[in-house]
Amino acid sequence: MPPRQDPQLVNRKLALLGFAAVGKSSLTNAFVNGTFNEAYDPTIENTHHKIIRFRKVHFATDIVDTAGMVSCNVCRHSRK
Amino acid sequence: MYAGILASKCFVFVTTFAFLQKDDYSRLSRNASVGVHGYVLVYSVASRQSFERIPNINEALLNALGDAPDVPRVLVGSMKDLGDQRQVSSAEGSELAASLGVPYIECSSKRNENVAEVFHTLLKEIEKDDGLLSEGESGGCAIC
Repeated sequence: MPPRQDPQLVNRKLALLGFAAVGKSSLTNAFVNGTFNEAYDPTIENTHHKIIRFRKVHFATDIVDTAGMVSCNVCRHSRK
Repeated sequence: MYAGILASKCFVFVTTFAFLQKDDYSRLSRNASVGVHGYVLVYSVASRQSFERIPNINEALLNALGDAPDVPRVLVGSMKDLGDQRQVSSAEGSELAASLGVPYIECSSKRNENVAEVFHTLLKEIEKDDGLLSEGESGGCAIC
């Protein structure tokens, strides 16, 4: 009997960045839970976990859903 | 002894400065910058403002990571189901992605279109150097 090969488990951490209300949480929820909610509820920060099976590799992922970056320009101006 | 104190003062100054700069400039949380293998840069195709912020966010990210040259990233145009409210064309999206040197994907979370592709593409970007996901049958040995 040939030795049974366990699938590779690879830990990876991913993060979503972007302006406020572009759909970072919607994208994360659609992927992790397969759900979509029309209501907007601003995120502070959430980390989701999902095993992604892709091309025979099992990725144990942490997906960091971040707060929308609204103040980059403001900060930049204030630095000058 | 004196040099030691001086060095530690310098260290405190440098770390404080780095912290302030990071906090002030990019607002990237510790959890979103430490140990992250790859980033999804998201804008909405129905918001030109969100699109125009991408170079800014990308720059802030690279800055926060200490100007690491090859951070795996994908550019995502979300809400592609909002056809009548579109403010950013697909061509503009691919053009920006090309200028950043990253893949470009348009998706709709509402219709579940291209959602998994976003994450699969990012994993491909992360693994492209070590051949874990190589498409060839041979297992990715460049010499054989």
